[in-house]
Amino acid sequence: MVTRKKTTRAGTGRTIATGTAAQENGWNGATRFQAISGVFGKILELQQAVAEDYAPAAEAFALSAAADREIQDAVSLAAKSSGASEDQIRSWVESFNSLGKAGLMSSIPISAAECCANMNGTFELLSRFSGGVEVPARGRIYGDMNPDKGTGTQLITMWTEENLLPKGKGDGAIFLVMLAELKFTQNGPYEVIGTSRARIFGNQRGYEKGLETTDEFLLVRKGHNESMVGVPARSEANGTDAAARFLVEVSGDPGIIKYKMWGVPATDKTPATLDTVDTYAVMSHRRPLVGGWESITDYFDRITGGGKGRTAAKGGALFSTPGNRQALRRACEHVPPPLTSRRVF
Amino acid sequence: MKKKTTRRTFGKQIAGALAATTLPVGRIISAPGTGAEESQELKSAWNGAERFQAIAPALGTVMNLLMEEDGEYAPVMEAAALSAASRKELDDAIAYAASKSGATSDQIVTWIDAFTSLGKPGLMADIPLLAADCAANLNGTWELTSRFSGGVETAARSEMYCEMDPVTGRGKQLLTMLTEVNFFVDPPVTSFFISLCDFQFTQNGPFEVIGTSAGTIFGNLPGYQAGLKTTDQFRLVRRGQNETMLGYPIRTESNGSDTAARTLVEVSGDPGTIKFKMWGSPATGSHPRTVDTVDTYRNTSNRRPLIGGWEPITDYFERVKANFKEFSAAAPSADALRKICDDAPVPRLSR
Repeated sequence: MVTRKKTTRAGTGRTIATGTAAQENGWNGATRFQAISGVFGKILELQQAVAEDYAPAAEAFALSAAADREIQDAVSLAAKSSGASEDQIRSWVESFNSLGKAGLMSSIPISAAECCANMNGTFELLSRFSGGVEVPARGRIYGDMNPDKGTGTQLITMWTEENLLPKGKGDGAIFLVMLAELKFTQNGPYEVIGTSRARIFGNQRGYEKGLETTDEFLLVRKGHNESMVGVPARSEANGTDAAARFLVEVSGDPGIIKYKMWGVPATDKTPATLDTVDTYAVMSHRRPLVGGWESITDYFDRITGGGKGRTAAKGGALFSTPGNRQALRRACEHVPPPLTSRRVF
Repeated sequence: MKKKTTRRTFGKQIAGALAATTLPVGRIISAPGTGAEESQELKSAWNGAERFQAIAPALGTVMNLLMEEDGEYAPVMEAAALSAASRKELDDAIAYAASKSGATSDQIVTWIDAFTSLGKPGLMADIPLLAADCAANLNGTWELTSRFSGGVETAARSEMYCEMDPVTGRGKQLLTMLTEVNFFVDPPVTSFFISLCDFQFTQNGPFEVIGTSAGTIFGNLPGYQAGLKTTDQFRLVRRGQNETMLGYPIRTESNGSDTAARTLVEVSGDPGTIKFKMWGSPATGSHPRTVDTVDTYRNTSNRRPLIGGWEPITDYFERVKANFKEFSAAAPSADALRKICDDAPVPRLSR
């Protein structure tokens, strides 16, 4: 039986923050750290329950009234003793939690149009690490974006030997393909809210007929490029294990996007999942075409059987003949280029 | 006046005072195997969420005590040492977290250090790291892409030239920097620096590399005119494709400069990039606060570096150093610096 489950991570339902520009003045990393140090540990201790759920549901994130009050009191005290506002204290705690000390650097203006433009093009997976060990994996991200509107379409393909759990016996590999509608919305000078509505197909339980997800995430800038702060607010269906991993970092220096995901602890019924880091490098900033000539939506429809007319194939055609681990490992071999290669040196 | 300043990592404070030349030998274990089977054995028994659960009971105490250390403008060695009472409180909190979680005290200390430096991504599984790779990753020429001071982009130009020998883990680095804002926003001063450092990377078990650098910095600001000698020791770990610094560098410097009035909180970078994030320090009765600074460098060539395409970096440094007064007098003005920071857009059909 397919159980429909909805999970939500709270945290990005924030209001427009246009006043924060002026509030940034007069602080630096060390003084922000001073301001939150009295309250930070208490908040994290109270929120650690968040990390205890395998596939945390919305209710798990609701703290008890007593815990909420305790946090509010601690935030008020920290605000009063530091001279910062309560909003600032909460924002800095969230930022430190996500990015460490670098999260307390001065905020840098960020624009939704640039976040959108930064996603345009074709990105190739450079590496995937599972539980600290590199695993054979190939993947691409294709972003077809419209920076004027802050919207776009994204196709992600992933062929991997290992996903949530250590690989089992056998020769099978894992396939996942996702098409998402992205939107970036300005939220004051220092924040952009991103949303994504996606459909994921794969040869894993719950993905065979397509898993629909929505995500909302918060982007800030503490350096040259934007990075996510907090955890995305996510909903997903079909009773999959999609929530059995936490996205704790989305960032990247110029030309790179990386995703860092925590595994979650084991429960009585489910094993612990693996930490995973995926790093992608941009190959092209031009509008993406799969195989150099096919639009990403046509490609997605063709291989998932979701399209209409001549381009539509029988549903699940790709997954009936997936490449095995041997083929994947060969595809992951490194072929060193000579010094006189055509690559930029 | 000669001044010696030191920043130690949280973990090293817990473990006891360590001289700059001492490695944390307690953690030294055999070098990593390269085979797939050995690699699988390195797979961690903990994941990020479990590490977070383990350190949570100690975080409140640790954060409160760390604030004492970070409140210093230019912290001297003594200031960084916690009182006996604070040390006991810290050790008790760590011991409690360890007993509750089943982790060792060393693990708790390491994870708190990693969380403080990198946030939640710091608690990801360790990935094997090689000193030779760290050395090789620095080789080449790097161009400053941007400098942000207090959240605002600043007119600045800079290059790093690194000539490395991955086999010995050694190398030399030349850094040049021309910037409108360094420690203070007001008043802007066009300052320039040039440094030459000797680097060494040393393997410290499969997951850690210790880096040391010793060099001299010349500049047109007080304390730098006659050359400021510095030594640094830092720890590198890997939580993704590339290595990243953990904790603070252990630094010594002299000549009464303000180099300690900023704290290096992140050195990392995705492929092709190195970035340095520095916190400003709080104001004190006799010093103004300093600004947060982020420098991002992009790799422009992996070949052995030559200044102007033909001059070895040591020759160039010696030549500038020998005529530093003359060189200083001919430094660009603020207007000239802004002009050379103009962005000249390239056409779509560019090279």
